[in-house]
Amino acid sequence: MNERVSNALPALLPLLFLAVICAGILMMAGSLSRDRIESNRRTAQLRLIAEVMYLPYDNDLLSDRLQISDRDYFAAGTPVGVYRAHKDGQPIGLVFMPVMASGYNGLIELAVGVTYNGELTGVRVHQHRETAGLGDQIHQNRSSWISGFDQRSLANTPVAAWGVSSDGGDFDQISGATISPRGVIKAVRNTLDYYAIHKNELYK
Amino acid sequence: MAIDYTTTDKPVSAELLLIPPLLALSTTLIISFTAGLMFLFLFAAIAVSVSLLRHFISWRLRIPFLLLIIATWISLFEMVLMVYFYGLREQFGVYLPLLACNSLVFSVAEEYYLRLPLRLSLQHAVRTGLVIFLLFVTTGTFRELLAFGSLGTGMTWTGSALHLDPHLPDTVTGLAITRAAPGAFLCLGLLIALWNYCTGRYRGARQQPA
Repeated sequence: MNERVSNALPALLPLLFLAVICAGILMMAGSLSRDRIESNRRTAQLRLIAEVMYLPYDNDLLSDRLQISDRDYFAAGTPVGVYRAHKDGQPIGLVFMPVMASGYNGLIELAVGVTYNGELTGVRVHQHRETAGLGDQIHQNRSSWISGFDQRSLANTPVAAWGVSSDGGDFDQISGATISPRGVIKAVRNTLDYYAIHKNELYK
Repeated sequence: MAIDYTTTDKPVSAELLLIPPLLALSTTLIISFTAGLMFLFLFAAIAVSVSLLRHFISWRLRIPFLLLIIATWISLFEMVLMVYFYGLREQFGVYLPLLACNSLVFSVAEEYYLRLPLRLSLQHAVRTGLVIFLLFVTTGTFRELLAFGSLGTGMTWTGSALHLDPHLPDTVTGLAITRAAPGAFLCLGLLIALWNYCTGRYRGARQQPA
């Protein structure tokens, strides 16, 4: 046993040496690229947030961020980021991201923008795995379905109207897909409900 | 040179079967172009490092050795993508790190670069990389044309540099199947059929008695 170990050691040494070198290279590359990668990530996030928050604001939206979590309103109890837009110190609106909706193939990640008065500025799909050609019509690149949320609020859309038209709601149907739009509508409505109840805490 | 490689008796179509994880993502020209280019550089980098270091490593330890080299290169490639083409990195998702255990990369490295001297390894890597690059570009062109009716969305040439900004074309028309992952296999199947037709293998196989 001992003999075998001592025979293997000289063969192992170059490999170990190489492993240390590789680790060193990766550490160096990692520390060199970290800042750029972080700023790229923020830019990508900001782009999506800017799409749903078209109202003018003058604060750094990405750093004015709350983290909330509420099992009753947000699917799977995943933490939701709340980005708060202000102009001249006055609250303008919020962007909730990611809001998880339950789709046909797992969770759909949404960005939901709400004005101070509780009106939707817009909803965008960030990530999803819905069926191509059917459920993926919820995505802004695939159809204009998601713009059906623009300017809606709890005040101008009664409870019964938050559904696809085949369920008696106000939103267009997507042929061949019922689960994906239902999930998105429910998630957006829950977000508005949450906003209505917690509005004051969210701007604090 | 690239065509040379495909005409050797090595069953290229069998090797093609090992590529699909990334090929399935090649929905548009921009994605497949960069993925193909990445394969080309990846093969060259692995060929050079494996070939240079092969004498220092005992044959019995070749598998951890290859894993180490391949995983290091892929991590470096990933960082480069995240620094310069962040959007592309998001498109590749989990498939990029998964390349570290891609059997094509691995088997080619073990079969050739561990045995061949530097020049031959590099030559082989460039050939393989070019074939894969062509395959990716063809698939990407085919799929983007049929699924979106556009070509080269997100790629802009400013005269001095190529700008890559991957986003799917804004369209609601097109063939859904070419947008979905099976579209890649459809294209691959058509390519192989075309290839077999051109080389006459198809006819030869048919004429053989059952």
